[in-house]
Amino acid sequence: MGAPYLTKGTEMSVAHADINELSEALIDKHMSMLQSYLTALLGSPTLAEDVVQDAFIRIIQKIHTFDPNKGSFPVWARTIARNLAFNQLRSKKREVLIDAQEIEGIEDVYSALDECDEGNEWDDKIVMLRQCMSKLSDPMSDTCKLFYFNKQKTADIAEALQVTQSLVLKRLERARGSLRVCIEGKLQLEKAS
Amino acid sequence: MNEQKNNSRQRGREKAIHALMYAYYQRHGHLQLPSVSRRNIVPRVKAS
Repeated sequence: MGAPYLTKGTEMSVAHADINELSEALIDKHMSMLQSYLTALLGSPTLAEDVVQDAFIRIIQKIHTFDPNKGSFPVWARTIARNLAFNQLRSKKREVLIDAQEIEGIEDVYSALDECDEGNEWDDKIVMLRQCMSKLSDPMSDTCKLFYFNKQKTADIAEALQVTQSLVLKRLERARGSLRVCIEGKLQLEKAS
Repeated sequence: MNEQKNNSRQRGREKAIHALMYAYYQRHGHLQLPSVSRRNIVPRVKAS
C-alpha cells in the first residue's frame, strides 16, 4: 500500500503518482488551509498570498521526504510553509512579530481542524464558525463584517459606525476572544490559560 | 513565566481565528450573514 500522505480518506502512492496529478490533488485539498495558516502566521492575507504559491512548489519538491510515520501531511506541509515564509521575510528584511508559543497556539487550532469531523473539505470545516459568529452581539458582528468582508480600515469603520477607532479595535479584539472560546469548545481544545 | 507562555499561546489561537474569519467571510460572508445593520451606518460628511 502506498504512503498515506494526504489527509485521512485519501491515499496515493508517491512512487506511482504522476507529478502533475499529485500537484493538483495537493493544491485542491490543501491550498485554502495553507493560505489561511499563512495569514495567521504573517498577520496579513496579502503577505500569505505572496508565499503560498512558493510553498506549494517547495512541498512538491520535497514530497519524497515526507514520512507518514512521523506525522500527518497537513502538519508537515505547514512546517515547510512556515520555514519558507520566515526565510522569505528575512531575505526581504521584513519582520513579523511572533514567538514560539504563538506558533504553537496557531498550530493547536489548525491541527484540531485537520481532525474535526465537520467534513473533509476546508470549506466544510470553516462553516463551523457560523454558529460561533451568531453568538456575537450586533455591534461586534457589524464591525467584523466591515473589517473582514468589506476589508475596510478601522478608521473608516469608525467613521461609518460613528464610534471611535479604539472602540472598533476593542470590538474586533473582543470578537476574536469570544470566537476563540467558542471554537476551543467546538474543537475540544485544552484551555491555554 | 508559565502565565506569559499561556498568554502567548492564547494570542496564537486568536491569530488563527483572525485568519479563519478572513477565510470565512471570503467564502460565505455575502451569503450567510445579514447586511450590516443600517441603524449603525451614518452618511459620511466631508469637511469643506
